Amino acid sequence: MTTSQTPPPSHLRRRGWLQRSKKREQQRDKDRLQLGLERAAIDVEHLHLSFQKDSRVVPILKDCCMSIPQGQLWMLLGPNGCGKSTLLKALAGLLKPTSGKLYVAGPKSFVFQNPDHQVVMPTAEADVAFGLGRLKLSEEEVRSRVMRALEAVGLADLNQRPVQTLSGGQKQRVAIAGALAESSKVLLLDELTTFLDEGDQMGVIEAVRTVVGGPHGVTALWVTHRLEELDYADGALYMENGAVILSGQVEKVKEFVIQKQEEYKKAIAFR
Amino acid sequence: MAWLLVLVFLPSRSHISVRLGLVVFLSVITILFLPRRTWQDQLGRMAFVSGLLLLMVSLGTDGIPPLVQTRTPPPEMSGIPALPSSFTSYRYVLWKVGPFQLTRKGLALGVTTACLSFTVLQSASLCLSTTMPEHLAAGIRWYLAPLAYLKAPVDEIVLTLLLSLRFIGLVFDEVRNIALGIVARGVQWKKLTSLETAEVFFTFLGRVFRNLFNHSEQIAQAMVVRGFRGDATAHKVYFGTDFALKLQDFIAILALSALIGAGVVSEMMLC
Repeated sequence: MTTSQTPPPSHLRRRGWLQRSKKREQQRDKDRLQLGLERAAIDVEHLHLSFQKDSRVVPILKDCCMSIPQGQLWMLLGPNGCGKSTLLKALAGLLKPTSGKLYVAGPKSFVFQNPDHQVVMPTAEADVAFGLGRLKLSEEEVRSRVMRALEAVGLADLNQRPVQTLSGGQKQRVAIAGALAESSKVLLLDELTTFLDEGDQMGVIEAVRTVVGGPHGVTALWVTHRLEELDYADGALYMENGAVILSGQVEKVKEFVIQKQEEYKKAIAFR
Repeated sequence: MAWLLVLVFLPSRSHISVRLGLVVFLSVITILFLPRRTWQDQLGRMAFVSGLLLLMVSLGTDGIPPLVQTRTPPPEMSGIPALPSSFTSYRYVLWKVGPFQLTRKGLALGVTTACLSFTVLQSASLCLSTTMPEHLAAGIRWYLAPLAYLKAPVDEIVLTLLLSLRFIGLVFDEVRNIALGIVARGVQWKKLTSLETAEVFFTFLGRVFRNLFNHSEQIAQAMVVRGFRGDATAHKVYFGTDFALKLQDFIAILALSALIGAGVVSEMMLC
């Protein structure tokens, strides 16, 4: 998905601009291939997103830039209301950016924070198969994809279990299996472990870790507040006030977050 | 599905012995096929409801004797010879204490009402607890398939049924959470005027609906992310149901035929 920084004035000019933009993208991909570089699974450049509220423009994302390589698990951290979930929804195509460039390798899947919103069918296997409904596949193909996806998240034995009898973590794994069954290359995961206890939390992290970087080359961007989850990540990003202010090595981001926490503690102590 | 249909219609036409037999049969298979805690809960509730109906209908039918009903004068007054002693054992009123009286008509009506309620509710409950929602939906789709030729929205009905079966628990959870919220706030109901009580009640009711609409929006968003575009005919729902008949299906069909046969025979022989 590519959007314009300066929208063209007319429909025809817009089409021409988009074609030129696409050519530029293709040329850049060629250059990367010649240099032996793979294109990032998620690439965001100068992304802006704002909402209109009572004739007032409220900016949510301000000049966001990030790049996540293929086959890696990256964590996105930041305080509440800094725009993490909005960025994730923009990457999923649920929200339209105001300006900037955005590329996400397809097919992509979004897994919501509350598994009760994501898992829409009454049993595990029916839910995993739900996302395949638009693909017009044969029954055998669907069955095989569903079983492979459930095996990948360690739920093959619970394929016929009613969803309401599953724990929160198992439901989240069903949601992830649904994304995998669609052969998704990119998983956008929004605070998956918020409602989970420690055991379920580990189960979900391990399920994601198993599929990321596996033979299918799945990439994942995981929004979280828990620092201990960073131990499973290949890279991390830190957002503040609608912009990514730090990205790269996990240790670097972790140190930064701990430093922020210390500053906050000191500020509270002085009050 | 066929069993359910027969269990709903058969008791309304058959002899009382068949009705009682059905109640015993349903109780036995509930005990045999459901876990102890579940069948105790289900049968306990059903026994309470049916018992209450039996009591109310049996005692209430002739509880207040109609004033227009003619009373038979004693034989010595009418000059007709008394009934032979073998017939005198017949009594219309079986039991009478104060204003309460149990008559033959009341007993027949009470037993019929109680048996019918037990059979209809328990068979539906048994069906829901032993059949997977997809199998139910697949069965309904099979039964409704001919209506699709008459432009009936069969796929929409089936998808709606599946979503209802999945999310009915969420509705109960939401209502329970709000109810707990009311209890936790310790509202002094006795001190409130009727208007204030209504205001509090409607505020919480509004909250329930607001939360449920919020859930619905999230679920709709998750379905869009998973490729559903609002057209149930274009988005195939896979059930993974194998419609091939197995040995247990043949046994079930034979047992069903025997039950219908018993109903027909009882109608002809006993009535």
